[in-house]
Amino acid sequence: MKKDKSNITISLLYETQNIISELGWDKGDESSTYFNKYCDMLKFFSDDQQKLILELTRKFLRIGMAEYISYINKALSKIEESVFDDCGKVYILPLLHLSDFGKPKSGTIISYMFKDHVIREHNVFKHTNTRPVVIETPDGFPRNINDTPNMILFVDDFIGSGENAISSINSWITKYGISKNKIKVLSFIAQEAGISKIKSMEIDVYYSLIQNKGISDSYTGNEFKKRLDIMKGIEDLLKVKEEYRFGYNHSEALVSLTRTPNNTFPVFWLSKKKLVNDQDYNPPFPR
Amino acid sequence: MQEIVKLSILNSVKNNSNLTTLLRLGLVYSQISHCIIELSKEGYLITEEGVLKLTPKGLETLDRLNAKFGPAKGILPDKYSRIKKIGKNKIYVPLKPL
Repeated sequence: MKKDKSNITISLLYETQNIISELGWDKGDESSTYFNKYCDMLKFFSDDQQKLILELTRKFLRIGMAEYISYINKALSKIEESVFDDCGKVYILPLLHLSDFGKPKSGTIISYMFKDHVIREHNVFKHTNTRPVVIETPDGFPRNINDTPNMILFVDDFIGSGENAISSINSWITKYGISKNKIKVLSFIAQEAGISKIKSMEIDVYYSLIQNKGISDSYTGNEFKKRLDIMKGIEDLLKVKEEYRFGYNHSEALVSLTRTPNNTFPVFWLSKKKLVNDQDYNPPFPR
Repeated sequence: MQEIVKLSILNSVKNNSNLTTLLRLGLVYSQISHCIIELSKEGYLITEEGVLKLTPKGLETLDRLNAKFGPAKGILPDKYSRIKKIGKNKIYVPLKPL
């Protein structure tokens, strides 16, 4: 990219505008924030790379804080009422490692939302006379839960590879000796790998949406290889660390929440100072 | 919309060229996009199978503006590539490439 020569053609600008408009990201925003951010991002890349970024953008899911309640409700609707029958209380815990409990993480925000009356009055609770109880401090955690009909619901906004979810659940099981049959997991969005890992522990997981891998699950043969190579080129340019290539654990996620998960392709969230010709690379969904 | 902006956009659409000239005119991406929307509404541009094209009205206007400003006038001096004069025995080292 030459310093003063734009890498963006008028047709690319037009296509970008159409995509952002279809996704509704700049609706009611006179500054066209996302459109401008996208053009600023695309200028660093070659034609093929720009095309791939826009192709992936069409599948990109951006969930703002205002939509959280509705996503929780959708996930709750997937729980059969028989799961909570006669259990009395469901303890709500963020899907976090015990040592991270209380830290301002996404799971903490989601768990706090279970104080909202809209969620508390969801049919799965109302029809089963179940009361969701948000655990705010480790002291509030019931010590004898195995001897009661109560349940535990671990909550989060995104489950990617499932590694963190498993290690978090295990940290609670180890400390409090909770039986696995007492535990359920709820997330807005989950990837197949994460769901399988949690299910392999014989723990049920509920979610609003499954998200496929952005490239591996969408293309085969040469089309797959072509896109793989293009993305490698993008990540080489951005000097992405090995552990985050194609997203943490090669998750290939295409999602942004209040904080973009590192499972998402780094091109969408990784900032870089002075990437090319002293120009900073500012992604549209920085972490 | 200034005629020079209109000329640059119509030219860019005709040749699917990059936005360098428009950005040098001081426009930001969203302003260029608004100009495209405006020119489409006014019948200068049309989208066919997702591709932005000039309408006969757009082509006619492009010819008229080219005649008015002249092809040479549509090209801005490349002051960005200009360097300060250096001595006969000095060597100019260009900016670090990619």
